[in-house]
Amino acid sequence: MTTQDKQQIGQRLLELVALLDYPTAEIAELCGFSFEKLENCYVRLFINDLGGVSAPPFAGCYVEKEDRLNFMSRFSGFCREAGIEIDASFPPDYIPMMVEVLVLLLSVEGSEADVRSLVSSFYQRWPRLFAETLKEHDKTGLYADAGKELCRIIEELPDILIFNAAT
Amino acid sequence: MAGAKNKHWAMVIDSAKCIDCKACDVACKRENGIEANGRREVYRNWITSKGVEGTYPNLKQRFEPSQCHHCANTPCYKVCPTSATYKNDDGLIMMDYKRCIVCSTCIAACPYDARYVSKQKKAIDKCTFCAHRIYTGKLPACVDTCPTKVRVFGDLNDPESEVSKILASRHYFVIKPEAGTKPNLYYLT
Amino acid sequence: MSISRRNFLKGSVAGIGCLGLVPVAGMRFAGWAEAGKQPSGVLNYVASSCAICTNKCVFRGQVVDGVIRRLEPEPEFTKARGMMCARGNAGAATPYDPDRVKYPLIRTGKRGEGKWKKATWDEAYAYIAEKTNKVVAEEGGHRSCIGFVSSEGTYHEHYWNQFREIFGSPNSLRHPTLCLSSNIRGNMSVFGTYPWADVKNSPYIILAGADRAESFFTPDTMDMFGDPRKTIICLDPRFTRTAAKATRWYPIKPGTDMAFALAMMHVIIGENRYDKEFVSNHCVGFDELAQHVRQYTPRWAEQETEIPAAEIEKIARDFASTPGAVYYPGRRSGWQGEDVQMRRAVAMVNAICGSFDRPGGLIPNASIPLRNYFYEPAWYDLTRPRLEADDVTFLNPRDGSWIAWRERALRADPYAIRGLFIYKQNVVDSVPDRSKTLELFDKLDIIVSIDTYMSDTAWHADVVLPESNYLERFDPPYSLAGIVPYVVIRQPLIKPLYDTKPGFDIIKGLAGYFADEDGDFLNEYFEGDVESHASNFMADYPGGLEMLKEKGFFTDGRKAEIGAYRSGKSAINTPSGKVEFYSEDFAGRGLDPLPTYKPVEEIPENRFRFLVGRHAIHTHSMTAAFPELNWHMPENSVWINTRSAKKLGIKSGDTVQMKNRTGGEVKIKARVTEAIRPDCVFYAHGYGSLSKAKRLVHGKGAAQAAILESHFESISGNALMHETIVEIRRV
Repeated sequence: MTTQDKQQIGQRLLELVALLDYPTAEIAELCGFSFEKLENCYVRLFINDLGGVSAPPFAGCYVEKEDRLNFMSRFSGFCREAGIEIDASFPPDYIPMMVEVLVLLLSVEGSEADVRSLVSSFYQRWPRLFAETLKEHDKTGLYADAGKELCRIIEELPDILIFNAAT
Repeated sequence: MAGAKNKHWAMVIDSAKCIDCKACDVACKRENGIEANGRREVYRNWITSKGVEGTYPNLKQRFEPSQCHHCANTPCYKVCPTSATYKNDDGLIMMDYKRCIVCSTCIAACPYDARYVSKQKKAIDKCTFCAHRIYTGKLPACVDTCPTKVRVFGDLNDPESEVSKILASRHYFVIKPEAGTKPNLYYLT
Repeated sequence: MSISRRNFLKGSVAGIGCLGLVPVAGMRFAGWAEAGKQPSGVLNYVASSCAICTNKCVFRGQVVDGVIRRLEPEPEFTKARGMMCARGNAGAATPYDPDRVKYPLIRTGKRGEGKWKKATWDEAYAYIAEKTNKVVAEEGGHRSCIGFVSSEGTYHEHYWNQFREIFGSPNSLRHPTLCLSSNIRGNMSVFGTYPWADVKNSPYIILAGADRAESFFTPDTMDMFGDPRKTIICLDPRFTRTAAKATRWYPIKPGTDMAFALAMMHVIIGENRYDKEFVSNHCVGFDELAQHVRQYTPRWAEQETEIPAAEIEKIARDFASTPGAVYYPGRRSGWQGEDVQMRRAVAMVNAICGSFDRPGGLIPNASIPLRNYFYEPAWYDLTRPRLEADDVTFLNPRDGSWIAWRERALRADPYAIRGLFIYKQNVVDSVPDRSKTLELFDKLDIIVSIDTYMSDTAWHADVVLPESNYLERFDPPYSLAGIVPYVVIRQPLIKPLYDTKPGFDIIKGLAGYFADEDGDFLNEYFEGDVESHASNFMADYPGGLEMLKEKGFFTDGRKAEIGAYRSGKSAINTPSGKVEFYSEDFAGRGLDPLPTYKPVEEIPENRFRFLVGRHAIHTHSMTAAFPELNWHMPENSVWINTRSAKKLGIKSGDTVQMKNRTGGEVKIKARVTEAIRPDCVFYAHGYGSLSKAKRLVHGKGAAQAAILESHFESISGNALMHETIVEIRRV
C-alpha cells in the first residue's frame, strides 16, 4: 500500500471524526440539515438525553469483555508507549479520539503490522455495536451512516493492509 | 508471583461485625477491574444472609461474608484438567486464565461456590486474596476497605501476626469442615 | 493496489453524500507527544477526599496512565478508621459516566422536555445575566427576588455564599432544614452546642432512629459495629441493618420518642439514680424537670410508644448505672411535630446521667480553625428581608427554612421570587412534595443549576453549568469538626474532562456578568485563586498545606479535651452558662420551657405513616444510578408489614398505588416483610427520578419527594419527614 493510499484512508477517517464531533453550521449545510436540528439530535445522541445518552461515544461502553476503566488505562498506556498524546479533556476511549490515534499510526511509514496489532487490541467489537446503536437511535441518518462507515473501515482495515503488504 | 514458601496466608472473619454494606464487593471489583455489567453472579466475595428471620416483632438477621477459602486440600485444583488452577508456594490458589478451557469442573468441585465464569477473561475466575497487592506489602482490597474491619489478613507462619494471635485467643470454626478442604478462611464464634 | 484502495473507500458511502467533502481541520484530539515515547502501566497515587456523602473520607487514588482505577482508604485518616465504603469505592467511575453534564447547556425546548444546545461559558453566563437583570429591573431593582440554593460537600460553597451576598439577595437556602436543624436546636438549648457522642468509649448506646449501620457516619458507624461487645438499644419502627446488629430492637411507634425519653427520666429521677454531682454543679432547672417528669410514668409511656413499661424501666436503670452510656443524638432528619422538644428530652436524659463531657458521653466538638476567607461586602439599599423571616423562631439566615420559604414563594408573600440559582442541591428530589417545587419552578423566569450530573433539578433548569467532578478538582482545605478534628482537601486525580470547571471559576465567571449599584462588576470582589486561598487558610500551620497535599488530611494532634467543661476551662454556651433543663429563653419566646409531650395523630384504619430512611449503598438521591451500586438494588419497593399486606390483598412484587393527603401519588412495587410496623410503610430515597438522563433510575420505583407531604416545625424550621399519612391499594 502506498503512502498516498494510507493518507487517503486517514483522510476519510478524519472526515468521520469531523462528522462525529459536535456539529458546525458548515457541516450541517454540507449534509443538508438545519443546524439547530442537527445540534439537537447530536446533544440527544451523545451529550445528555432522555433516558440517558442513547449512543455514548465511548468505546469502553460497548466493550463487554473488559472493565471500562481497565480498557481506558490500557489504551492510554498504549498511546504513551507509542509517543502519542491524547486530549486529556476526554476519556481515553472517546471514539473520535481513538480514530485519530489510528490515523496517526497509519501515517507512519511501514506501520502496517503495528496498525493491525492496534486494531486487534483495541478496536474489536465496539465499532459494530456503536454502529448498531446509532442505527437504532439516530433520527438524522447522518450519524448512523458515519458509524456504519467507521465500522466498515475499521473492520476491513487489517485485511486491506495485509493484502496490500503481500502484493 | 509464586509467593514465598515460608508464608501461610489466612483470613479471619468476624461476622458479628458485618453490617452488609457491600464495601468489600465494590472495592474488590474496582481493585481487580471486574465489570459485572449487571450480572449478579459475577463476584469474588459476597455476603450471605437468610434475610429477616422470625415474626414481627421478634426478628433477627445475620450476615456472613465469604470468598475463596484458599483450601490447603484443594478440590478445584485436583479436578482441573488443564492445570489452569495452580498453587503458589505460599498456598494461594491461583488461576492461569490462558490455560482455562471453561469446562467448569472446578465450579462444581468447589464446596463454597467461590468461582464464576468471567466473560471478560473467557475463563473461570475467583478471589486471589489480591495476590498482586499482598506481594507488595499491601492488604487485600476487601480487608482494607471494610468499615468495621470484619476481615483480618495475615501470615499464620508468623506467630506475631494478628491472624495468629486472634486464632490463638478466640474460638473459631471453618465452613463445611466435613468437606475436608482445610480452608484458610476462619470464622470467629 | 490503488484499485483495491479506491474500492475500499468507495465501499458504502452512499448514505453520506458529503463524504469526501467534509472539512477535516487537522487532528482534533491526538498528536505526536513532544516528550516522545513514555513508559506505561505506572501506578501513581493521589491523596484526596471523597464527595459521595457528608463524611469526606480521605483516600489514596490509584491512577494508571491518566485513568482512575480505584480509591483506596487512607489508613492514617482515623476519622474514617481507615475505610472506604461501597459508595466511596464506586465513585472512581463517576468522571467517566457517559451521562454526566459535560458542557454548559442552554434549554431550547420547554422546561423538562430535554432539548438543549451546547453553549460556551460566556454564552451561558450572558443568557443568565440577561434574564436575571430583566426580572430584577421588573421588580424595581431589588435583588431579593433571586433565591440562592446550595449544599455542603463541595469545599467551594463559601464562594457561592459570597456571590449571593455581593449580588444582594438574602434568600439563601441550604440543606440543614431538610436534615438536622431541629436536632441541633434541641441540643443547643440544653448544652449550648451540638455535641457528638464518644461512641468509641461508650459500652451502652441507645440508637433512636439513627440507622448508623446504613447511614454511615464516621467514626461512629465503625466504632458501634466494629466492637460487637457494645450494648446497642435500637428504637426504630423498621427492622434496619442497625436493628439486626443491635442487642435489642424495639419497633417504637413513630412520633413517641419523647415519651420514651421522658419516662426514662421519670425512672432515673424517681429512683434517685441521676448524677447528683453533675446536676448540682453544672445544670439549672433540675427541680422543674423533676416535677415535670413525674407525670410521665413508664406505664403511660408504654401506651404511647408500645414499648413495655418493664423494658423502659430496665433500659433507664441500665443507662443510669453504666458509666459511659449515651443516648445517641443521631443526625436523622426532623420527624414529627415536637421534634426540637423531643431532641431536648433526649439531651436531658444524657445530662441527668452526667453523660456530657465525660468518656463515652456527649462531647462538644473540637475543630482546627482555618484563617477566614475574607471579601469586601457590597451594600444594597433595596434588599428586603428574606421571605420566611417571621415564620421560624430560630431561623438560620444562611440555611433558611426550605418548606416555609417555598410556601411563601408560591404565594409571592411578601414579594415574588423570580429566579433560582442552584448550586449542587437537587431540590426537586430532596424537598418534600415535589409537585410544589415544580409548581414554584413554573413561576420562575430563570433557573440555573450548577451540577456534575443531570439531576432532576438540572433537568428542569434553563441553564446547566457543569462543575468538574470531585476527582478532577482542587478544593480548598476544609475543616472537619469532631472529637478528633481534621482538615481535609481535594486534589485532582485527572484533569477536568470536557468543558467543566471547578465551583470557584464558575461562580466568579457568572459574577462577572453582574454589577453592583456602583456599576462595578461582581467578579472584582473575588481576589486570588483557590490555590492562594488554600495557602491562606493554612497560614497558621507551617507545613500544613504540604501535609494536606501529601496525605489528603492535616492534623496538629488536637482533640476535644474531655472534662474541660466540667473543670470550668471551657464555658457552656447557654444563657445561664449551665446545662439547661428549664429554658428561660424558650419561655421568653412563648415556647414550652420544658419538653411537654403532645400525643401523636392517630392513623386511621387502612392508612399508614410513611417513613424515610437510608441504605448503606446510597447517599440520598445521588448514588442510585451508579452502576456498581445500582445492581444491588435496581429499583426501590415499598415495605409493608405482612399482616397489613394480607388485609389489603397485597403480595410482594405487586404494583401498588400510594396516595398522600395532599394529592401526592406514586406507583411502586410492594415488598411484603416482617421488618416494619404494621402501621407504617417505607421506601428508599433516590429512585423514580424524573430526569431521564439518570438512566438507571428514571422510571424505576418511586421518589420520596413525590409522596412526602410538606410539613415543618416552626422552632428550627426543619421539615418533618414522618408527618405523611398514605393510603395504599393494589393496582
